[in-house]
Amino acid sequence: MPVLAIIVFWISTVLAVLGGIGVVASPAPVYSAVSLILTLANLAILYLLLNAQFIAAAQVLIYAGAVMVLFLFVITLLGVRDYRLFGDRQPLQRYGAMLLGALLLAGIIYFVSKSGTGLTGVHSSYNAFQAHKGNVQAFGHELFNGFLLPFEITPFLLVVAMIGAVALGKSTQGSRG
Amino acid sequence: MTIHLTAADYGAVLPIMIVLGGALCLLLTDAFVKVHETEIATGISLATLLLAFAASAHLWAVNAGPAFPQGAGAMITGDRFGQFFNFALLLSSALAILIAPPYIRTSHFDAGEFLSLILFATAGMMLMAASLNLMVIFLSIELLSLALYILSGFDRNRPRSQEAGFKYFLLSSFASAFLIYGMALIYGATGSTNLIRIVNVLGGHAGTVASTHTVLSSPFVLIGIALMAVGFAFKLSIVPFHMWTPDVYQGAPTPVTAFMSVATKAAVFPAFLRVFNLALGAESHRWFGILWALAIVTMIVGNVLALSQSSMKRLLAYSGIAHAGYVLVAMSANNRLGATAVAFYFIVYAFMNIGAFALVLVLESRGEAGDEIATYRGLFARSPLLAVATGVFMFSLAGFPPTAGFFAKYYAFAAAVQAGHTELAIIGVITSVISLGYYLRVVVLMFMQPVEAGAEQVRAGPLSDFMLTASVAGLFVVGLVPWFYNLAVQAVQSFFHFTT
Repeated sequence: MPVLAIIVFWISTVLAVLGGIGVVASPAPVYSAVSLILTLANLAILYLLLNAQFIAAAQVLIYAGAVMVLFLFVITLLGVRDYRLFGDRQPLQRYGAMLLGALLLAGIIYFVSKSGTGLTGVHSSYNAFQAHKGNVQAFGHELFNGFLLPFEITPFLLVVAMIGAVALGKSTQGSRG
Repeated sequence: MTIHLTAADYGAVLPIMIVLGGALCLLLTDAFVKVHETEIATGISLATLLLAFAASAHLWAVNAGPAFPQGAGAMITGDRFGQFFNFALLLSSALAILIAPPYIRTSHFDAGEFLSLILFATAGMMLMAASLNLMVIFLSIELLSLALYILSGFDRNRPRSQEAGFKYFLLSSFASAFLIYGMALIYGATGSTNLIRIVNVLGGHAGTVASTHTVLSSPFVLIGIALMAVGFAFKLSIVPFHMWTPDVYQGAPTPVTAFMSVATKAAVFPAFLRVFNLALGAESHRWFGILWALAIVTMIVGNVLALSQSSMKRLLAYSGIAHAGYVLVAMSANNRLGATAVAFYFIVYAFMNIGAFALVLVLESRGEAGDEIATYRGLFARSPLLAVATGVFMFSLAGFPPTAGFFAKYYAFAAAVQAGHTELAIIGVITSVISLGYYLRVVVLMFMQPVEAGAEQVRAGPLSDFMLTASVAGLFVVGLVPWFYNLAVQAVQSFFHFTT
């Protein structure tokens, strides 16, 4: 990995983690949403470093763009200002969760440092990607060939979500709404 | 490389395609048909399930292998193991739809939407039982969960149903995050989401491929196993990931509860088995401890908490948690008998658990109080048929000999003994004895207590009567005719054939 790439990696990693902390720790939902944009944008840079240009573009367009705009839109529309998400209602639960999370992190760090990563990170279809010059082309090729079945299941997920939106969203007045 | 899908590939997904097609058909007819909506929608969904059953039976006869595409890169399989669970899933879906029409009418549900969501959930479950790829497992678990969230919150006039839908949605999406994180780490460590390829990297039961030391000692395999276990355990309502179960079961519309209490488990367990006992078979020494502890805690907590319930639905929810523990005992045995016991369990469980919920539904139609166990007092005098059927379901759930419930439990515990884990079988038997405390309480109330003054006769509809009779008959036939158990044995042969 070239030096520049390593510098970029560390900058965006630190920013992504800071953004993640910001999502949880911000007092107002709007700040949380903006912190989430920071995390998502930095993840897109990490994808770029991994040569996954298409995923990076989709990440920026769909998550950092469309989804977060909806988030902000809903938050501002509902007018939740200065709403303390972390009230002091169950402080015990909060500290318990922090303790367990820290324990999990310590466990992971211990095991990783003890035995090395052992990650191959190379998918069996990697050669197919290499054969194509363009990343988007290779992605599309895999999507419509080896991963055709998962691709075809996704529309049904959307159909179910749509039925749900209609069934749960329609007026309760009368039997047929 | 271009993909060449053959007739065999389409054959392997045919039952799932039929159910999805039926669901879409329901939505279309719902838009145009304005008379006898409930009857027509019920007819269409039952016909769809019957067609899918025929397609599944055909696949069983062919015993198709990995498909879509065929060979090592396969996404799903048409093997007998998957088809066996398809039978259980189609059966529980059909039983739930048989009891649904009166509920749909009294709650003013839109029959087309309601039943099509049940079919969508069924299709997701069938896909899950047949999947050979972590991607397909995740997508199908989302398909079935999404449909179930909506179904749980479908009754918009009851706040409790809304609460159930929302609670299930929030907690279950959280659990899905664990699942996909685990999958991502397994993918990172093995380089594939395909179960066959994961077996080849890690080394399967047969030890066909020598596993490399670096992969086996990878902490990411270990963390991946733990995270995936959390994801699966949540969907199976295994302690300590069971908190949602009683609230969701109580709040959701009763036909939905009946359906999801059996079918979700019958869909997740085969995928759980394929991932842990097959793909991660070489790592069984790493995950055995997790499943061992989960099984013990689940059996104890489920049975003990069920003792103090006053609501029948909550009682059945805790009983469902306990039963997930028994199945987990069979699964952690990690042998042929264990896999057979898991498969056999769900044919039996479909009859007895949906049957028990059908009773709740009939009594509940007299108002919210019908859910209280106290309303079962003197049921025998009010409706002999209902009381006898409930009695059979309770005895079968408790595991009394002539019913199929006994055999299902027997095989599960026998598998643990065969694997050398007698302690699991002993705890299973002890907790089963504890379970008599709440199952028999219902029976005693029905048969040995005088009926309250002014209580009227209870009558189920013709479809519910048919369903109850079929379930009671099914419980004796499945238990006493060895043909069903042999079917499960054949199914498991194809399951282990895969690795060798």
